Amino acid sequence: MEKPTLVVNISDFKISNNPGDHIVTYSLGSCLGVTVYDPTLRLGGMIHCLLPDSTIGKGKADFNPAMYVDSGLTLMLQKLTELGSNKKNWQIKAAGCGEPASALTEHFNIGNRNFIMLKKILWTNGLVLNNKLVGGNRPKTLFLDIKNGAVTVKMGNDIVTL
Amino acid sequence: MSKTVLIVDDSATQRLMLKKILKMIGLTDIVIKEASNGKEALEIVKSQPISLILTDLNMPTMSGEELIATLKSESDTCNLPIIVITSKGAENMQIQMMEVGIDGILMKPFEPEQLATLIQHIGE
Amino acid sequence: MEGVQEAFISTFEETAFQFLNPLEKPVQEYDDIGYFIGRCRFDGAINGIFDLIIHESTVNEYLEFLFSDEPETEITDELRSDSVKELSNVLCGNMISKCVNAQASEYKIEKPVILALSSLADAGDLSLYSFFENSGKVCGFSFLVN
Repeated sequence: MEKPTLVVNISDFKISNNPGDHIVTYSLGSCLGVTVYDPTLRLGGMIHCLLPDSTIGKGKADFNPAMYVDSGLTLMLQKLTELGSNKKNWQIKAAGCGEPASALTEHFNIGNRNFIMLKKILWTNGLVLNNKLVGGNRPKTLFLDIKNGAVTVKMGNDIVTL
Repeated sequence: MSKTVLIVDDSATQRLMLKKILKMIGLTDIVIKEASNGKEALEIVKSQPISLILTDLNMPTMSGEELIATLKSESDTCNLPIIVITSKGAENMQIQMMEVGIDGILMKPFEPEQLATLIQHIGE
Repeated sequence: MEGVQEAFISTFEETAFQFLNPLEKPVQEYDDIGYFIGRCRFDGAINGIFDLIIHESTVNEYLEFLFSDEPETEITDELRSDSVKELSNVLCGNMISKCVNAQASEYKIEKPVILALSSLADAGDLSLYSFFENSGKVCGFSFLVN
């Protein structure tokens, strides 16, 4: 696997059209990682969201849209559109939404709710998921190669192509 | 000529959702016909060429099971692709349905990608 | 019954795309205005009654979301009650399959009906219902097996 050139932190997203870029996000547990790639423009984005619903966090002064699936994904899709990308070309893939063994009780079901919110945002935008690797209790690292849109997920020593 | 998909369900909500899902999975150049029970569906099937039927089972006047049995018993409709979309709780039906030769069954709630996969499979 | 409650929450969330938080205390009184009840009777390997109590604003939110980019879809009273019936049917089916070996059992869910909340309060005991908070509104269900 190529060395990552762009790292997406928790509650963060990155967009690139530089064919040399390899975007990565690490340790997706109950968090959701989504990649969106437009092969016609060789333009792609990746987001790493912590929680499903921004309506809980909007009152906070430090509101960070990328923290939440609804506000974060909507914002990333909007940015891709502003860069001239047509949603008809999007290849959308998701990883994460697991139930880590270490999860606190108050975090019960967060993984599943993150995935439900992803489906909600996709439905609202008339989009479908091309592939996914969600659930389970193993942390996942998600890679996106801007040159060709290849998406891979690494879990321990296992590598899965989405 | 555009292909025609027939949606058979007595719930208007479900028919609207299926129309939206067909659009979402990229089937934008199709004609969609709707029926709210098996009897209406048979009338439509007799009046024009249909490429695919998406049907519920539990419907008034004529159920999905009766519709499927009728279509399967007639030589000009027995090869028509049929996907059953029904509420969970009908799993026992699943086996019986596959035996009569339907092309797929989806239990609600299902994901749009699952319908896309079934339709793609029929196309092959 | 814990499995049934989990099936209710997960099916509701996956179908309506709204999240439910269980309410600790049973709700004793309702404002009758604005609540729908979707009732399904089921018969076969197990038989009984499933009720969904849902607020009109929850139904509206659900329909507005479903058809947000379909401006030609008009949200009428008929569509509202149709969607409550449809939701009740899907919920009931998923809960039954938590209780029985669905593949080996014969059972049938009757067509759902819409009831007024007042008819429910006369007949029954609200303590039989489980209640949830959903965007500031109360939502509930009962799954009674004979």
